[in-house]
Amino acid sequence: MNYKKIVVPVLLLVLIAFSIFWSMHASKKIAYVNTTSLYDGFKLKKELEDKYKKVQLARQNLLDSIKFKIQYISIKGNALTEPEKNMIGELQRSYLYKEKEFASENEGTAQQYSEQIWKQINQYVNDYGKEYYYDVIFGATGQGNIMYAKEQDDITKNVSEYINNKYSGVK
Amino acid sequence: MLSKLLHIALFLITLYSCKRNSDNSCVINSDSDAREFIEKESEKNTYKKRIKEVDFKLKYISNEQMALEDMKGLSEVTQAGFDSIIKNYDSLLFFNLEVTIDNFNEEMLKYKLGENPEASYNDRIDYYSFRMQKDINLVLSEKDTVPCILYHYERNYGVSPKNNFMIGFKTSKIRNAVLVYDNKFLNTGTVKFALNEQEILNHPKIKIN
Repeated sequence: MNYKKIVVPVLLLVLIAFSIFWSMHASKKIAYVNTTSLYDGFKLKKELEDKYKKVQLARQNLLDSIKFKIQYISIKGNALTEPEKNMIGELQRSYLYKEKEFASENEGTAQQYSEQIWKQINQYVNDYGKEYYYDVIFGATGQGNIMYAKEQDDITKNVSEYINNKYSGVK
Repeated sequence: MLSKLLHIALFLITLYSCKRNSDNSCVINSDSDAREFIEKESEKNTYKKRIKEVDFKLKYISNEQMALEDMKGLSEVTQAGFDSIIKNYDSLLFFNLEVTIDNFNEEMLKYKLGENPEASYNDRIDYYSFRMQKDINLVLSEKDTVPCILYHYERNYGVSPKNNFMIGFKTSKIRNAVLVYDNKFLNTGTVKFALNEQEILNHPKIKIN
């Protein structure tokens, strides 16, 4: 009789503990997003891309104008005077220097913009996860980090809308 | 859930704390009433954004608050005096932008200074004191952008981790307005705050007793 009095509550406790443990682990809310689509559809990315293109175009225009000057002066061919030859040399050096400088600056700007975009995307996906009680949100890049997932677990569209609203200051 | 309840409680407290008339105006009887009004109002109409380690907090400051600030210390406060002061703020929109960085208790001028700290620091002082004004705009639509015409960086010399910027725009239009701050040194990218037209328009007016 005494034996039963101890065993039954212990078994009950074990059962409760197991069901709590099971419910905690079984109900984990997990989803994934396609990071490429998220990145491409992010408003800040589009804005910075436009800005970057404008800067690049302005730089290219400057290089083209130096190139044009060189070609214009060079038309004379063999009839070029010594000062004109010197000027062409100087313009060529300036062209090469600027081309190198712009290439390095373009690279730096692209890297900086990319950092800014990912900083905001990561933050807003984090906010989304907290707001909608997700335990894990995976980022699928299509390169094998997620080999299979149900389509219904793809929340890219919702997250994309959310992060764009967050960025626009609407949320 | 808990934070939502807290927000509702705070909202109710602030809603009923001011002595209001039926027309939603607030009655100011004394200097302490004015101070209380300013503190309560500045907590409302606040927009927050966090990007990684950086927190941005934008507070709308009503013209009433500005006028009350101007009247601080005056020996006599009358409705007529208040009305004449508030006229100076016609068609002006004021905000306070507060920037704080997680686990960084100094001025943000010193945050991640890089390879040449002294030059970077001086460049930042110059930027935050003068040039940043150009990086703050109020976008009303694709073709309508209002520049920031009043700007003041409140230097605190490391006393507080909060960095405050007082900004003002000359406009009476706020429909679909978005405040855009294109910050240079924090590397967070552009920060936007969509303003709530109703909340701004419905801020309580003031009556002086």
